[in-house]
Amino acid sequence: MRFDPSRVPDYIFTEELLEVVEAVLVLERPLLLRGEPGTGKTQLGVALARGLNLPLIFWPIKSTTTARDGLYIYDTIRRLNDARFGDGDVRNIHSYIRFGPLGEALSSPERVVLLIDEIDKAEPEFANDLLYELDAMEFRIEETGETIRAQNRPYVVITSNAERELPEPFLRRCIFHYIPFPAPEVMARIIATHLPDLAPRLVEAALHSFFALRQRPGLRKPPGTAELLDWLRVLVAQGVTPEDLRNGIPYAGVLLKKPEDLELLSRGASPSWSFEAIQSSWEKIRTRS
Amino acid sequence: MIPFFPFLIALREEGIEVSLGEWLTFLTALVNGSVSPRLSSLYAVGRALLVKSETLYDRYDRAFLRAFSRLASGEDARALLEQWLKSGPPEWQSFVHDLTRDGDGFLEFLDRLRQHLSPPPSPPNTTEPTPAVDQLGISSGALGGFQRAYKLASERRFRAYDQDRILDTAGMRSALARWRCSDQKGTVPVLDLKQTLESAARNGGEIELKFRYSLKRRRILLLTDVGGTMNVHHQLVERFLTSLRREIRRVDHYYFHNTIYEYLYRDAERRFRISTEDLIRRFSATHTLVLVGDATMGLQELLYPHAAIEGDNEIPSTTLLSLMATHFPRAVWLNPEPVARWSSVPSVQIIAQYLPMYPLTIPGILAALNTLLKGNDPKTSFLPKGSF
Repeated sequence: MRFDPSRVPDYIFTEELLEVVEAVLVLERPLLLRGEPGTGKTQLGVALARGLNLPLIFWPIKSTTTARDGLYIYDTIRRLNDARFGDGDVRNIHSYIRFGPLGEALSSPERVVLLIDEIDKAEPEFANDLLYELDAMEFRIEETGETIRAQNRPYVVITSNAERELPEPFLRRCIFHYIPFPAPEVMARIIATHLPDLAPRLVEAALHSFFALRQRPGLRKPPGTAELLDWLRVLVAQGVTPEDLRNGIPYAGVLLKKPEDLELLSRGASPSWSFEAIQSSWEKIRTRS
Repeated sequence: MIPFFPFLIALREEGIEVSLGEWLTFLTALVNGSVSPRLSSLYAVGRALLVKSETLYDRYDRAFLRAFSRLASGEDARALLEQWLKSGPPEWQSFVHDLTRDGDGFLEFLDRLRQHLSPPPSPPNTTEPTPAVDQLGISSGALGGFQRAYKLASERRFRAYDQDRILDTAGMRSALARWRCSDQKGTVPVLDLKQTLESAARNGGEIELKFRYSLKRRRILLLTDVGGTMNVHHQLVERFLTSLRREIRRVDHYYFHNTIYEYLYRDAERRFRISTEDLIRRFSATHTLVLVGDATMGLQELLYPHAAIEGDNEIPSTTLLSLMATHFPRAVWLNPEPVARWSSVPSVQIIAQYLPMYPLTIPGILAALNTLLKGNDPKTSFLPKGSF
């Protein structure tokens, strides 16, 4: 199986990432991706499928998702209803078993890419419950006694926000890659692929402000790539010039989502403890009394 | 098999616990073509297979450097790589030649790695872009130079916390969730008829027995130390409080300064007082008492009357502490100071005689939970033996 990065021009692959992808293809082990929000973990899963020219099965994880949901669901209600109203083939249990995303990936005759998105959203036991299925790439349907076994091991990509520690046995079976926050020049390339018509001077000024903002100590949630792209769109729409960016960050609400962070920013721009401020408030108190 | 053993040793020396399975996978990767015959490839794939957390990337770099740069000493890393290349498919053989005359940039690669490990001192204000990916395709341990230095620094800080995991809110919440779950332990399950009927109806008549646990909700009386030496710990304590409030519904919270005297406070600014006696009267012994404080103070403040640093106390603090400990059979003291420092602080030693003391870390919280469930177990004590 050959991976062709030229098929995904809008995802920037680093050399190192390509080496890791190569190892995933040969070893056929799940690839676990971690990184700050907005570093393109999910995008990488999608890009992998496109680069390999394979169908993608997307399995977004929620707090209520269980491993069994991913394999199959035995729809008892529908079967009961069919029995009452005389619809469907009630005797055939197979027609009441629906595959979940993992079940679909394992039963697919052709090779697929399975993207398990945000695995840490589920209960802590979730990852452990998947161990056997991901290892052996097979599962048993209890109701029929059938065993479904993958003819071609699917490539599994798992993303995690490190919201929860994943269990050791699970980690041992994965190939791990940490997606670093893009360096300024990588970020410039990312911007160029998404917003190709931007004036280079504006991009440069915006990047400068953006990375300076990210390095500010005490920031609770540093802005990510998605926020930066949104912000650039706003800047263009509002006709902000590179010079404007020198005196602070306009439309900071696009970049910073926490009230505390916005407060921190405004404190930095115009110190509320300036001599004038204290004096004026003192004046106010004096005139009142 | 290829003698990559020194690398494994170096990894383990750096504290990266590579399991046997992971190591075998790595060795397999070396020969089955997932690693291409370049040192940078060996580096990248090795890291993806052997290291499962970005916090260990620095250590991996160090181990890699150590294992493959023993060129000066008798043990030749080059020989190691040569052997690896020779074991590969025939088209690799040309690389063996390259390697012996440094064609692969062997030394260059190691030099770059070495540079990454000793970041140039950069003033923290510069926004000078640090190249994260150099020509060899090695990202600088996932982080730029400045951030890496920061990362190292933060790692050191986390080492101060008894080498425990960083106390992120998520980790703390899952530890505290175990406190909440512990409510169910030891109670007798009762058949929940309503739930059973409902689930049977929802499941097309298939009966699934549902049980209910008679829940005695654990109520927590939380007392935290504020001000003074506690200011340096405010972020950690704040995170603990947020997690606790999210995980456990009933938390009654009061404040104190340094240690327990006749009065406690309703607010962090210590304006509204409540007498300790009232507090003990109001909260029954079914409450779990959790104190959070660094327990660091002058001995007289703890042992004598009229010695409190704020206000005046008729009763020595130790008397009140022992009163609390007898009134609340389930009581723990969580200390945000690293355990290593405890033995040098006499007041910590004294307080730990009245209330079982645990560090405010994830293992500490879990050990505290054990104490609350099973009573004080001297084996799990964090205090060094024979002190005091």
